[in-house]
Amino acid sequence: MNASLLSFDQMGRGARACLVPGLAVLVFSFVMGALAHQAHWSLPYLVAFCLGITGASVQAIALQMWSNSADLMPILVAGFAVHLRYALIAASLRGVLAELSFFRKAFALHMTSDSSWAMTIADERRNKGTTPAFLFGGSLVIISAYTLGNVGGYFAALDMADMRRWGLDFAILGVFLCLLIALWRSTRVDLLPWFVAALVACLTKNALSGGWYMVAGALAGALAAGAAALHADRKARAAAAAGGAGAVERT
Amino acid sequence: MTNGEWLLLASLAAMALFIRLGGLYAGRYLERHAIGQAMFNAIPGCLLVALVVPDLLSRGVTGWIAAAITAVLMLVTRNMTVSMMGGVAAMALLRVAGIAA
Repeated sequence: MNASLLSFDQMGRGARACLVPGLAVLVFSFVMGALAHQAHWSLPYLVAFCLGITGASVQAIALQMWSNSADLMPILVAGFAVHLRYALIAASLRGVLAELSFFRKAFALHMTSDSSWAMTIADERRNKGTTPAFLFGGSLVIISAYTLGNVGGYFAALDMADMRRWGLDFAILGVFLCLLIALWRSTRVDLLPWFVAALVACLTKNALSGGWYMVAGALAGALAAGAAALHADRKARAAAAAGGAGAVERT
Repeated sequence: MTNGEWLLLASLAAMALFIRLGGLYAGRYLERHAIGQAMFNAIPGCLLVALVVPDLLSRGVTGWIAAAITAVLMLVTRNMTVSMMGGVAAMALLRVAGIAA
């Protein structure tokens, strides 16, 4: 039962749940397609990108960093860093995908987007028994919307003057800002790492070629997060050892 | 598209799948190490900050206003498409109004 992705009933439920997010994805990906056209991507490349990687942030990173220099490595590294959160998304789907074969697990995971994941988790919380077909149906809708939107935007073939006139050169920055707001957890956890990341990125921007300054900033921020966690851990252990009264916060 | 660019695409696709399968099978182990987990969780946000802040600083006032509008919309609506389009529209309007940059 749960070993199949092709239960049409469940797929239909999943697809319906993702219709409204799908509309938003359609609009959003239209902009991405227009930017891809600006970046001189070929149509086959664009479609392959949409189908090969599910995750608008990777496309946004690639477009943002495209032709900063001939060096493509920073795009791979930055794409990796921004996509890491999908490891946690995948981990949270362990239960839903449990009965699938390895290849079906891999396929279902490949297709999963933020929207289809969120709808599946919500369905699981409501119904306590959501199926992989639900996730798959929703994912199909999102990926279709994403690809169609991209292709539509690509064929709109706006030139640079149009892009600026419509404010579209701001689009990717806007997307990243929204993502940042969605990713923010708390001052305690995020303020220091993000401050360090921003500082190091700004300081290294001229010193490092291409997009490497972003990687430097990200690494510095991650190290700061690790250092803060280490510090908090030591404080907690010291307080526990001293039998301290009062709340002890663990990271 | 050059061979290098196709190789990049293939690498990104492989990387994405690797991350997802890794998370599915190894997620449990990460949860046991608080410091590793803290670093892991911090990376996506830190990368985006490292990208956004220098970019914003290099834009003029129009960029900052559009960014502020995007941020407010996102905080209120929690909808990425609406917020992004709001920022884009703000940028377009500011330029139409003749405000520089």
